[in-house]
Amino acid sequence: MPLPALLLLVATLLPLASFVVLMFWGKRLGNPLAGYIGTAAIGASFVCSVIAMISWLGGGGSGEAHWEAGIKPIAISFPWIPTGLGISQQTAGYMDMGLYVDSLTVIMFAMVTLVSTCVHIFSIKYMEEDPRFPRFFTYLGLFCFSMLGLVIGGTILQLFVFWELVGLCSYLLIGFWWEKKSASNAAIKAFVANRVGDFGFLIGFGILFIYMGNASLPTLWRVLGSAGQGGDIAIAGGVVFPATMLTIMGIGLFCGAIGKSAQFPLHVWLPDAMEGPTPVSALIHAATMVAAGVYLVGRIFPILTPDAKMVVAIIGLITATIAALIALAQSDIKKVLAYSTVSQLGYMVLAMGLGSWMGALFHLITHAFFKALLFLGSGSVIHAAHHEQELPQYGGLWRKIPFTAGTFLVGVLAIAGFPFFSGYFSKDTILVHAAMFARSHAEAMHNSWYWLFFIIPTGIAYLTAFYMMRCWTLTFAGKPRNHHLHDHAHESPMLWAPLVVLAALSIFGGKISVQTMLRNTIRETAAICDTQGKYVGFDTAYQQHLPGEVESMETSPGEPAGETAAAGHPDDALESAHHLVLWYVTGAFLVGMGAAFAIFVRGYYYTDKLMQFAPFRAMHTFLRRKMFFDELYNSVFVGGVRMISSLCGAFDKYVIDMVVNAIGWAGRILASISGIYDKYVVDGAVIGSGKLAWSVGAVARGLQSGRLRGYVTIMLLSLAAGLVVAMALYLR
Amino acid sequence: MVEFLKQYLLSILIFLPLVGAVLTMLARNRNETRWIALATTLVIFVLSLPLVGLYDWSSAGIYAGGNGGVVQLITRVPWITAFNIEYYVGMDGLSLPLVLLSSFICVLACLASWNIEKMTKGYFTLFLILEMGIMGVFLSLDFFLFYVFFEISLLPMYFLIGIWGGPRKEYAAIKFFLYTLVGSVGLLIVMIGMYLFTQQSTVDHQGTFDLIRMASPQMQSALMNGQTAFRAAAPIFFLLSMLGFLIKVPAVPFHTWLPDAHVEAPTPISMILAAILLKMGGYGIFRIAYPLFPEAARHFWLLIAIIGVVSIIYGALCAMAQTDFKKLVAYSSVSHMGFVVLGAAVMTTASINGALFMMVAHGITSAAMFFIVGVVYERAHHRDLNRFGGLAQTMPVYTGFSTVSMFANLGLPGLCGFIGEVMVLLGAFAAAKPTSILYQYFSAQSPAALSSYLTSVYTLAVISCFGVVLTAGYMLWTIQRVYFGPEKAEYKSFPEVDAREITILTPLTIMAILLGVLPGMMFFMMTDNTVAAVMTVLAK
Repeated sequence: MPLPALLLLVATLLPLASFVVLMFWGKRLGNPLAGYIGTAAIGASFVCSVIAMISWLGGGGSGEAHWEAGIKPIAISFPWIPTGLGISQQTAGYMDMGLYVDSLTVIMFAMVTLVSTCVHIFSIKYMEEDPRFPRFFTYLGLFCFSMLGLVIGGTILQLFVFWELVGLCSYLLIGFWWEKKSASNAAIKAFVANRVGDFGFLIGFGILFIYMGNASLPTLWRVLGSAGQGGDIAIAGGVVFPATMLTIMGIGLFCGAIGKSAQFPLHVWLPDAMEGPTPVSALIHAATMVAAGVYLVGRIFPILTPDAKMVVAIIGLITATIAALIALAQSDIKKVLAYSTVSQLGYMVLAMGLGSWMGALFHLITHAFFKALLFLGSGSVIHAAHHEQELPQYGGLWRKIPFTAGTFLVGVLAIAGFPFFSGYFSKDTILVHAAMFARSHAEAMHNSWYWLFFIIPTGIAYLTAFYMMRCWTLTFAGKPRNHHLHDHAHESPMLWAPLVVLAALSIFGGKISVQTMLRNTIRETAAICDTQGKYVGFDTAYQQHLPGEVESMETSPGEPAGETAAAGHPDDALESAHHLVLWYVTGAFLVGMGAAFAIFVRGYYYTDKLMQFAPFRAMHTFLRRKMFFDELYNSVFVGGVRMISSLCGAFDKYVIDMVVNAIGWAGRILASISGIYDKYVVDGAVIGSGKLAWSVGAVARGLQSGRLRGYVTIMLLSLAAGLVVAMALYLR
Repeated sequence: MVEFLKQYLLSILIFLPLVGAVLTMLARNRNETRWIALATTLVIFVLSLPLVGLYDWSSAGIYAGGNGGVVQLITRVPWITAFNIEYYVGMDGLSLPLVLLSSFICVLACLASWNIEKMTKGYFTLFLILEMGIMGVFLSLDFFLFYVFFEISLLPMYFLIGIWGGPRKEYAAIKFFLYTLVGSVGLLIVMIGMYLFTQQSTVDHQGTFDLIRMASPQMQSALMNGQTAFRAAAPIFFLLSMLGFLIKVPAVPFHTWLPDAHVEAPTPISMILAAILLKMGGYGIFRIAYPLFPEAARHFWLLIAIIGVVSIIYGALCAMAQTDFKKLVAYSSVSHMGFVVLGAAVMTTASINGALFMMVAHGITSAAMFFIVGVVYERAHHRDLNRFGGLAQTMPVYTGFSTVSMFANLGLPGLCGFIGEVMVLLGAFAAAKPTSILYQYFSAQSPAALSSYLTSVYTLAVISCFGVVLTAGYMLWTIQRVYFGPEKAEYKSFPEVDAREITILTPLTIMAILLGVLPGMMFFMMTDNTVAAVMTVLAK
């Protein structure tokens, strides 16, 4: 096994080891030793990942050198579930597990382990007073293992397995304080919402299974790499994979991502997941697990048809929009961040749907850094405020917890798109692509509605800057609104040290070799898809980011190559798009941040005035209540299923069982008739033997309370009937 | 020694419980009875382990070819020569996992019976006779012998529920007995009918009860080609035998005996009932109904598949509606066994593998689940889900065990339930493959038949996938209601699971994890030749 793969495997298994150790001995190790063990394991994982990254990049060489050196992705698979006819007969077909390591895997490992390590360190302090401290680190270990297993997964089956395990960890950690009804409810909601997504995933997997079995990622890309063109694909053995099926399969697999990445209409679980401890929110519900959905879409990107991509884009667009709107009116600091997460995930999914693979994954990584930072920052605030999470109780905290305030501001700037912070680059990439997509499609299809794919994301950028700055201002600036809380607030180095690391990454994350690594992934993937030289649909989305070539944006996915010319000169278009977006992003940043600061620096003074107008009040209520999604789902889906289930239960009890009892009753009637016959005919004939029969019957009655006769009669009658039928058939 | 074992081990496994039963009758006191019974089950379990080694896994073969095909460790002794009835036992990959499961579960169920106070002697005697019946069913290859053991397993169960059960034990026992009896009658007709038909199709006009021979290609073609009457009777026979096995499985709408029987049965008997007796139904489907009537099985695939899918969904919905913990687990059994029926109906390699795996996996998880219910019932003396809560605080170890089994039951990857479930679901999709048995069957008929077939396959597969959502729903809701929430004062005094209970739960948990992580352990026994053989038979 090549060194990088080996190192990553070790990095995956270390948290599992910590999970096992803490599972059995966690209680004995106690606080804080259990925390140290968990942290050491994930820290070692991080070291392994970094070494793997260095060795992957060829010992300090740049990404370009790596590509030139010809290091190829590593795919290793080993048999897991046999599905073929036999082991000894060489026809065995297996459902494989496997590793797939390419540049994306390497960089995801570095990101996940780094964020996890920060969260572990933060948790040692944050959870120190919790009675179930060791249990917390047990679950974190399992989570890290599952997440890393997902990232390194090389086959669809393995992705699914770890996908579910990640869901389990999320369930366990959201419901960590299970004494609270709200926490266990949120845990169930998360798991079930994820399962609804998995329902779609299973259908997609099932369709894939019909045509290709359980394919490894490279095989998938090699065979179905031309899906982006649209149209049927001929696979081995003269079988044709119809385009409709490909689309359904793509949407099905994407449903899994809808569940995991909290996309509309399954986004409702993520805000509730904030019932879990705050470090969990940072790790799972912001930085890593929810990113798994986007990661999955990234992996299946080459096999998505244009129609499937359009669905992906629309779902992402809706999610980003509603989440950003809802975030405007939330008063719980974690809920604001939760909806901002949903909105940003929608951004990434939208980018995927538009064909900007690069933008989506780039944003995924930068977002992981600054969202982990923001969540841990909120954790530090909550810790300082003795578990008060409501923004109206905060205000003026920056004097008390300056490190938190400073790092939090860095996070806000990064997510809002402050020039040259990490979020700026990734958002820029997505918006430029959106602009190009909108433009080329609007012109090619003569339909200006396509411009919405650019206008709405830009609008969301304004909203993002606004609500994030609102959150910061209400928490740290202005005058204290709760003096008792303000007076007792304090912070601790154990809490802010991870914040500083993450803040640094939030600033510089856009410049380190992330982009190069992602470009290499594109080349590696394209090289696999390219065996047949036909992957027009998606390669353009890839190619535009290949350095050294013209950064042409002329085509977008799904668009026939021939119509490119109609879109105008590519370089000019790109240039103008870049300028356009530059202004919009910076404008969004300035306008949004400025407005939020101006309005909220005096606390709720202005908004309270605004609330005196009924339309604003109604709007505010609508958004504060999360657009009533919970109410709708609870009454329609949860209520519906429960109603159907109680109907089924009643049907079972009163209808099916009634029939059964009626048959039994008929049997008894029959038995008593035969009893009368027995008494008057048989007994009358043979009194002596009758008496004997009666005494035997009395014994049997004592045993069976009289009903046995019924069965015996039925048994004999049916036996006789059976024999008659059989004989009749035989004699025919 | 090896030769001796190869010759007689299966018979020893079948009749050793009887010896144990006699010994328990001779025991002087309650304690002795228990220990004799436990020793017997343990010996049987240990003796069943060498079967894995004694079976020659490399032998390729057709299920029903020659002298038993892949069936090995055969013992054949003429029994009732007038009707050519034999004492004929043997083993293949279909029976081995179930035999191992049975002997394993019986040991644990015996341990779980430790606190049976009422008529201990009678209880353990019946328990061991039940084990004999179980072993006999899984190992006999003569239809008559199979039928005898099928009935033998019925009677002790009837008394075990009827005497040691809960408040409505008589009702439950009778319901169980009657239901199964109705099924048995169907089987009886099939058995006699097959004897008479084979009499016509053999050269010497001697009928046979040999299940393997009946399924053999020669006999099948002789039957199908030689006799128009058989061709008319085969669908009826298929449906009759399926009725018998579907009642046993149980599949909707023949399932209502199960919740009642489980609710009234004592804990160890529930464990055996769910873990083993239900598997007799599944086993019968794969051993008798499908191999003997493959043509009818293809013809009625839609009916059987619908029964399977309805069981999955309806069982899960009913489970969700229950407030009795034990009833909930019983309905979840209906739902899970629906996967077995669906797996059989669609006849793809993956689905049959999945169905066979599901039987073993469900055996392990359901035994664990029923024991878990028993543990809490023993302490609380009620099973009302709405009155529980906060047990995670009171009994953390118990909660840990429960959570693992429940997640195994809801099909979490890494635990045994997942493998069976996902294989059956994927297998159901795979029925749309042009190489699948049913695809070819329908494509030979007409394009219209084929397209309606494909529509049905997709519809059923998608609906059955929805089962995973429902299962997660009711399982997690149960966990919440029983274990989560603030600790309740009335349950504060509950003792944590004791050493005996841990001894029972640990092997089940280990097996649930082991099979989930290394499913090859079980597939190694089943897929090798058995599934190949079953497929060959079905594809004819």
